Amino acid sequence: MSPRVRRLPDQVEISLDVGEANLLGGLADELRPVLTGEAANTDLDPIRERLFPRAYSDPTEEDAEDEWQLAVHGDLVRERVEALDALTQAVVDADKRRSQRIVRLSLVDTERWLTALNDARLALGVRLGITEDLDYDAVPDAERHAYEIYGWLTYLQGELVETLLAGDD
Amino acid sequence: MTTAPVEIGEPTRDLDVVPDRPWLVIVWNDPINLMSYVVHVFQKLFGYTREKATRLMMQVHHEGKAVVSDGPREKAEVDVARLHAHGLWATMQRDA
Repeated sequence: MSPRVRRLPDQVEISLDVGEANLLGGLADELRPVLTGEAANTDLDPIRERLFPRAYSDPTEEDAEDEWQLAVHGDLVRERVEALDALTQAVVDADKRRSQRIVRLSLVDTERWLTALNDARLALGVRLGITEDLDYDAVPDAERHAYEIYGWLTYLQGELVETLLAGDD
Repeated sequence: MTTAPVEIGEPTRDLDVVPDRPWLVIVWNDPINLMSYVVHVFQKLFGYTREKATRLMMQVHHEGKAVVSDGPREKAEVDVARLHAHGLWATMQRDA
């Protein structure tokens, strides 16, 4: 459960084990139809509302809101599906060394990974009802696995962000 | 997404009767987005320094929200869309 992330001159390298690599691919496959709306289950509405919030806080701006949604929603979906695709493709293209999977990302693809990991965390976080005082020790057994995945995604995203932020200094 | 070039002379939305009051883009606190990620997004989207991006992130964290940019309606709409594309919870409203 500890991917290693390091910055190369124009790339970011992530070492995953095969289970982690498969997990990422599986999460991307689960999230894709949620983003596109193909998964039409109403249970998913809170997730979609979080992934695609309103722009206008003023309810009297409903016309402007509708216009804005019409203008940008397709692009927002496309961009985020592209991020998932970049994640999936990088896992497929990874160097395979026994049970290790070495992923090398351009800086552009690293940004896409951040987006994809963040969307996966948002979806999972909404489903689990994550709050700011999240206590992993108080998690019900039935949801322990989902919380572990959430925690691992948080760790991986955090490592990637730190790597990029350190490179900006 | 892209922004179409604005044609000179084309009127903006007729609702914009008070051009002096800019639109504010607000980012709201949420329990999922990482603090470091929010700093990174502010720097990437708005070109803010690390210090300014961190200050805004801390304001979101402690006060529940922060104004991260402002301007005409069209600019605010673009900024909100970019923030949503990065998973941040952002809205826009006219400056009071």
